[in-house]
Amino acid sequence: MDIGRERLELLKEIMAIDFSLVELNLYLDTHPLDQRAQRLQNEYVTICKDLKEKYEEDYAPLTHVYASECPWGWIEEPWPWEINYEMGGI
Amino acid sequence: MTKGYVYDYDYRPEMLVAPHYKIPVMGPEFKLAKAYVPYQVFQKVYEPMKGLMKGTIFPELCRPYVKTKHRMEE
Amino acid sequence: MWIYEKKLQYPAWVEGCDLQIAKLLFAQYGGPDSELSAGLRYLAQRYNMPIPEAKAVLTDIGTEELAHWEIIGTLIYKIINRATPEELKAAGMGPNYVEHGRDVYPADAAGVPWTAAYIQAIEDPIANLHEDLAAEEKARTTYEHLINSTRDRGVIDTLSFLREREVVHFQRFGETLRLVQEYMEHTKCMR
Repeated sequence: MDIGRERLELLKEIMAIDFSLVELNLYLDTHPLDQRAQRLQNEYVTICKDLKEKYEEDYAPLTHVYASECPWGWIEEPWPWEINYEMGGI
Repeated sequence: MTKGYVYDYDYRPEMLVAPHYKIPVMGPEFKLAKAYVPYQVFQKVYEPMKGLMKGTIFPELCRPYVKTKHRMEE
Repeated sequence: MWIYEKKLQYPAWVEGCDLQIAKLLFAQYGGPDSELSAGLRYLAQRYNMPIPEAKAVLTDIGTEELAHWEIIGTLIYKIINRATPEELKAAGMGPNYVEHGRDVYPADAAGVPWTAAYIQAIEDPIANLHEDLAAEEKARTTYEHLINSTRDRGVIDTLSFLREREVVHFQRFGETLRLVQEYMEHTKCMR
């Protein structure tokens, strides 16, 4: 399923920043005293929150914790395995 | 009575365990019958999209795989 | 507890319809060294870890492995949902289609259902962590075998991402092992 250029670009940006946060999370688990990493993590958290807020406002919820209108938006398609990520194929 | 380490050969920082392999000797703080992975020291990171495409944000952990041809094809 | 975020960790894609690789991808979906094995193994081992860093690493990597399990499921789903039953049968996926339709059922590349016999949790943190290090290497190797088995650019791209994650996970388990070893030394001296 195609989701439109702008929505896809924003989703990919969110994937990217979320991935950096996962990497930093794992790094900090074994380096809990690393202040530089913590500062970077905190920076990214702010960016990530903003991007996700924009996505949820403009397009669709990312978690079930969101204020919906009727009908319940969480069930909306496409679900992640249905999206065409347009990386050169299907 | 001597304390500390007594060597009955010339101490070298690596040992020749086979014709081709030199294995560095790890200091006394490393114990036998234990495995040690070096600890990563955070230097710099890839920016988020590059990190996502590479599979890690840490350049020192980036180990790309080069597809090997089956020997018969060469 | 687990919350589901409605996005994949990586934009998984397939270029065409390589049914052969779809069959083989089950190795990482429900096989002995699959993402499912990894996820459940780490999540089962985290309860009795002696230090907080270890509990965190096992929980976080275990959770990430479930996200990877989803990515493999997505790759398989994308490929087999483009094929007709006749094409599936011709590709050797007849038994799977008859028994599971186009559902992505947790079994290995030969159709053997997943079992907890693939994993171990034995309380000793050193033993558990060595199992985890081995698991990451086996997963990395399986990904390399899979990459060697297809020409589909999307599958290779996605699998390369997942393979690199195994390298990073090995590093984190290695560091956790160092921490646990230090802890065990310390507690031995204090007794």
